[in-house]
Amino acid sequence: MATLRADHIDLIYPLRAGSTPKFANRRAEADRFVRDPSGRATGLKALSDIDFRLTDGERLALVGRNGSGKSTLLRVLGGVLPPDSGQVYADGSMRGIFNLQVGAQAAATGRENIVLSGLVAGASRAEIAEREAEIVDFAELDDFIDMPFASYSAGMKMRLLFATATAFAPDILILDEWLSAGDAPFREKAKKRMSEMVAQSGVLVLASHQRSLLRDVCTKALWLHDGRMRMYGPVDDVLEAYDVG
Amino acid sequence: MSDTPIPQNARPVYNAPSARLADRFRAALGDLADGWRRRELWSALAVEDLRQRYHGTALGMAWAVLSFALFVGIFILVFGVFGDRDLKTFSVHVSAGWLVWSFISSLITGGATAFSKAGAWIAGTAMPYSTFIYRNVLIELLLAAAASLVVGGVLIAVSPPSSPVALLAFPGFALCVAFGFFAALSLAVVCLRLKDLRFVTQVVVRAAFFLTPILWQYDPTSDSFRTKLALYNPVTHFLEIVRAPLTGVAPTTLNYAVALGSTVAVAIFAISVFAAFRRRIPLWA
Repeated sequence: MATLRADHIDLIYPLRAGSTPKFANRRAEADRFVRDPSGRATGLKALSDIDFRLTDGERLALVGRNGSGKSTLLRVLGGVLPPDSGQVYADGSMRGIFNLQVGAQAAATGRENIVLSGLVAGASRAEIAEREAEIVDFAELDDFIDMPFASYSAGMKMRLLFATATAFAPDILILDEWLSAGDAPFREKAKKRMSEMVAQSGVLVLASHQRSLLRDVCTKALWLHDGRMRMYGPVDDVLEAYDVG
Repeated sequence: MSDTPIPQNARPVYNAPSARLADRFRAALGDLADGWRRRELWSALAVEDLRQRYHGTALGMAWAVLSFALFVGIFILVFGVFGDRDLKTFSVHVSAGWLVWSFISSLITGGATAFSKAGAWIAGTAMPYSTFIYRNVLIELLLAAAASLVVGGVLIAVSPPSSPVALLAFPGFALCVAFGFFAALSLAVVCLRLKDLRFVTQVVVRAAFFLTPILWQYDPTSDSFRTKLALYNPVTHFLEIVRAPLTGVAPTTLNYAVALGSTVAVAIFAISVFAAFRRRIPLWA
């Protein structure tokens, strides 16, 4: 059974001397900063006391304005950023997809890129070999698969990256925006594949601005505001409150 | 919610923040161990990096051998043939010396940018940071393997090693690998925070090339300034533990003592800075 638990997460982005933003001195923002004894802001509280628990079948929508800490929280959950206090616990294999382009090698062929992306995702060579034919087929690259990645059109690149990223479903999936690629017919296919991937995973955390998507896919929602939990509960309730503001 | 018990099999996603020194060291060593387990990944990345380097060239990876051979050939021609040196010893001296120097100096200069260049990876994937150091070491090992073909050719041509002393070159090189790994790791961490040190490193490495007996030789028994310059330079001793055996001479106790001592010191320093600042790496990168 997959579970993901965030236990009183705090995260502070360090601010170097000379890089203190002006709004640090504004009164309304005062409590978002950590200060040294002289009053200079030394850190921005990006996340404060984030605390929730998700078990099998629960899909969490993450909503909030730009800069509210959604991506930061996803990276903490995904093990990319360490919290300053608190702890994330995961039971089950986990994967955060933040940037499809990471690891794509221009000079390597499409086939070689499938292997590299698979290794980055934590799959073994044997698992990758097992899925390879299916990935090539889904990306509709046919004979181009043995050409260098650099020679692909933008659409072909995205199709391959999408097909590879969605080939290895983890127990806990963390997504910064819903993934999609290609032209209209491909998008339909991609949507179906994403739904399948989400269905296979036990727990999902998804940050997105697409309301209808969040309502369709998610069961719960977390509204982040200035790095704090403004509201947490059933997806419909939270989205309704969020729309009101 | 946090009153609910932590599920039995749940593991911490990133090691828990801790002020305890022992926890920090355990996390740093854990990163090195996890990185080692990802060798399928960094082997693939190392090979890919080399292929990218020679991509589009007619000779491909043969350039790794050829460029080393050309360098060494020019050194022998300019400093050996036109100079008044014993050509046989000088050829071995310069080719073996250049191999070890290239290996160590590339790891040092590459280490200074190892984490900053991997910024997109560090921000986009949960991967042990040591992965990038292992990858760099493997790249340089493969280049050294290519260079060793040239060194082997030089040895066969001028003075095939006849004594088993030559085999000491292998453990000697293994010590260079350990030193290079930890030097790269410490610089990767330190230069990520203090970005100016990247350029200081470049300058120091360039200066060290002239201060190290690669193109020039010294008489270890003499009391000259040149000998002192060589023996006070720790890099000389790394060169000697590989190079001396190939010329049929066993390295001195001093050579081994300095090389081993430097490796242990750098390893302690590297693991300490890694332990101290590992959690800052994704914020700095």
